[in-house]
Parts: sequence; structure tokens; C-alpha cells
Amino acid sequence: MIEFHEFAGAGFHLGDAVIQAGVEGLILVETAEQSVEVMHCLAGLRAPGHGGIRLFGRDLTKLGRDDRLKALDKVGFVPQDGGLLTALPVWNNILLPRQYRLSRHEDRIAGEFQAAVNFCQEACGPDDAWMRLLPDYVSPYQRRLAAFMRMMLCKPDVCIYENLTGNLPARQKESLLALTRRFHEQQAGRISLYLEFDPGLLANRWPGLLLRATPTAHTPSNANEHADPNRIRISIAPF
Amino acid sequence: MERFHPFPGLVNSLQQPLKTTGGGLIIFYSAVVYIFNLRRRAVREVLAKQIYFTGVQPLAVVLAISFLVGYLFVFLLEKVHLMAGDATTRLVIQTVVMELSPLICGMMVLSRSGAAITSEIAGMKQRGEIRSLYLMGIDPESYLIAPRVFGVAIGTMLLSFFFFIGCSIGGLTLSALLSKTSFERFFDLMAGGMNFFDILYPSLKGAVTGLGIAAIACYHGLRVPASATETPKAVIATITHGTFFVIIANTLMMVLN
Repeated sequence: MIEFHEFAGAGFHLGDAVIQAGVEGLILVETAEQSVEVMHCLAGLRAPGHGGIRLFGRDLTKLGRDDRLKALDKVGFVPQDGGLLTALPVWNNILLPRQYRLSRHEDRIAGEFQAAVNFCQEACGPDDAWMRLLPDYVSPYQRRLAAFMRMMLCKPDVCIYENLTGNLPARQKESLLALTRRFHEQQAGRISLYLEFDPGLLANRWPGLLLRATPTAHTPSNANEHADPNRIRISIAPF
Repeated sequence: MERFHPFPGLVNSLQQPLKTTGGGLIIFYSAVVYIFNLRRRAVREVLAKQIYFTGVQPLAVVLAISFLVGYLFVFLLEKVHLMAGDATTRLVIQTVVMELSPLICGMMVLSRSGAAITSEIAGMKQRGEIRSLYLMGIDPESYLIAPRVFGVAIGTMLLSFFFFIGCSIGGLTLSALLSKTSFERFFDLMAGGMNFFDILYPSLKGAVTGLGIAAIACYHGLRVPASATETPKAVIATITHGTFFVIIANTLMMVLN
């Protein structure tokens, strides 16, 4: 369950909302920066400008780093840029979080990877040569597809898609949405939350819960609390 | 009110190494805390790559340099030997070869792996990849820091060992081929009185040097701000502070030995 309490970010207000287990939710914001901000707040990477978010009843920003990472085991993120590591080929990126978590039964990974490829067969196309390339050489669609497969392997209870369909041709949008819907239905109680700023394809015929962020004139005082890029963080805060 | 510094440049140049020392120690501590995460396959792969890039890839160059350095010493020591006799010559050979191997390897590792680690981590930070790791539920410290610190340490240890061997045997062989003194004579001078610890000592020293270099490199990579123009500055800081560290650490270990 995801709970938003009087949630507001830089230039937008979402208010109160509860996304129950099994629900497909769509949050419409105004800009790409806002969708990224909501995603970071959900991950506990930054405190909301105002109000709070609770994931499985816990406010991630108030947890210690180890507990927060443990909580994130149940959550999968698909950022718009894919969030792939540029030094690793795409297929290595797909396997990375699963390999990291599965320190013992490593023999399972090959089978799980093949199952993920089969699941995405239609979207991937017949040629999987792109998976052997570095992320800089694949298209935005393939990067998002790779991020989706990476998330799939970890079998999360909550899936967060940040601007999944933005700037893609209609056919690729449909293809990605079909995949995420099928994945959502695979496990009872799974939450899928889409953070979009482009209403386009999604808003007109959204079957699940639709939340619209309302624009506000002011930016909450602590909105940029963690965002100063010049802050020196030795203990590897991710900004 | 802003504090007045008569020599702001001097104050800054004194502060930076202190900050680096503190930051490097925190990075080292973090690597030790996450040492058990090296059993994870994804982390092991990073460790293996780091050992390869630091300790295996430059091996041919290091051996070539060690042969030449070895020959240079033997060439010089021929002259020392004429004046000082066996005991002094032995002392000089053993001390110089044992003390110099980790120092030269440390400088090589610093300029290769140290610079590479800083620019890689800085790039990852600027592209938001450290944040991506976090979103994947991967602890960046265990995935980025621990394997790099221990990988560089193992790599430098390997290089120091092979440099020592190359310097001792290769240098003597070259000198036997190129100079008048026999190989056996210099081998006897070199190996006489050496024990197991003496052979292990350059490697241990190399490992300590490698730990420090990697910690400094990671620290400077992680503290880079968002702008890409800051990366070269971070690499320069790594090389400068790393050079200080390599020389100070090697001197301290030599004094303590």
C-alpha cells in the first residue's frame, strides 16, 4: 500500500491519496522534473517538499540506509532513461540487481533471464543483439524495455514506472503498456504506479486509479533539501 | 563575519590533504564494513575486473621496467662494490630493491587505476548512475567501493611482487649479459641472507599502498559536483594527494621495518 499525506513538491500539490494492493495507479504531473521528484520521494532519496509518503506503512525517508535498501527490495523502478549503467552491456544491466541479491542460487539466473526474454518476446523482436550492446548504443525504447526486464527479474510487489511512455511512438507505447499490464496481472496484490507528465495515450482511457497533481505557485521550503549537487557526501548519498 | 586568512591559498592547500585523509579513511572503513558483500556474484565480478586492470594488464610493462631498473642498480652497484665491498653492496641491493618496488608500482597504479577510478565514479555520479544503483536496491558502497579498494590492493600487491622478482632476477640476468661481473656473483650478493619475510615484504607494502590509492581515488570521484568540467580537477586531486600518500606511506613503512 502507498499512502500520500498532503504530498506536495516543487510547483505541484497531490494531497492525500491511498493506492491499495492490486491497484494500477496513474499520477499525472506537469513536468518531467515533477515525475522524477515523486519517484525519488517514493524511494526515500529525498524528503517531500510538504507532507509525506508511506510505503507499506513506513516513511522511507525516516529509515536508516540499510533498512531503506531492504524496503526497496520489494519495489521496482523503471525510470524514463532506464537508469542503466553505461559501463555494462544491456544484458548485464538486466541481470545486475538479481545477481546482487541472489548470492547463493546463481544457477537460477540463466533460467530466469530466459523466462524474462520470452515474456518480452513480442516487444523485444526476434533479434536480441541489442542486449549485447552498451546502453549508449540502444534506443530510448530499448533502454526502458531493459529497465522493465531488470525489474521483472526481481519480482517486486510495487512497480513504479516514471514517464514510461513519454517521447515514444504510439506502437512502442502500446507495446510497453501491454507488457506492464501483463506483468501486473501475474501476481495478485501487485501495485503498479505510473508517474506521467504527458497525458497522451494514458489519461484518456485509464482503467485504474487516476490522480492529478495540481500546479501551485510556490515551492515548499524544504523541497530542495537534498538536491544541492555541490554538497559533499562522502558516505555516498546518491545525489 | 568571514574569517580573515592572510594566506588563503596556503590555508586551502593545507586543508585539502587533511580532508582527503579523513575522506580516504571513511572510504576505507566503508570498504572494510562491506567486505563480506564480496561473496555476491555481481560484486565479485567488479573485484575480478579491478584486479585484472590493476595487477594483470600492466604486468608486461611492469616487468620490462623492473628489468631495466634492476640492471640500472646492478650497473651502479658495480661501482659501489669496487669501493665498499660485499656487505654494503648486499645491504644496498636488498634495501633498494625491496623498498623501491612498492613505491614504483604505487606510482604506476596511481597514474593508471587511481585516475581511472576517479573519472569513472565521477562520471557515474554525474550521469545519476549511483542513484540508479540505489533504486535497484543495490548498496553503492558495497558495489562500487569495496571491490575497487580491495581489487586495487590485490593488484598492487601482485605488481609489487613481480616487480621485486623482475628487478632481482631480470636485472641480474641483464647485467650478467651486458657487464663483466658474473651472474652468480651478484645473485649471491642479492639472495644471501634473505628470508621469507623479505620476499613477502614488498607485496605487503604494495597492498597497503594500493588500499590508500583506491580510497583516495574513490573519495575524489564521489565528491565531484554535477558539472562534467569538475572531473579533471578531481583526477588532478587524486594524483596529487595520491603521490603524497604513496611517498609518505612508503617512507613510514620503511622506517618501521
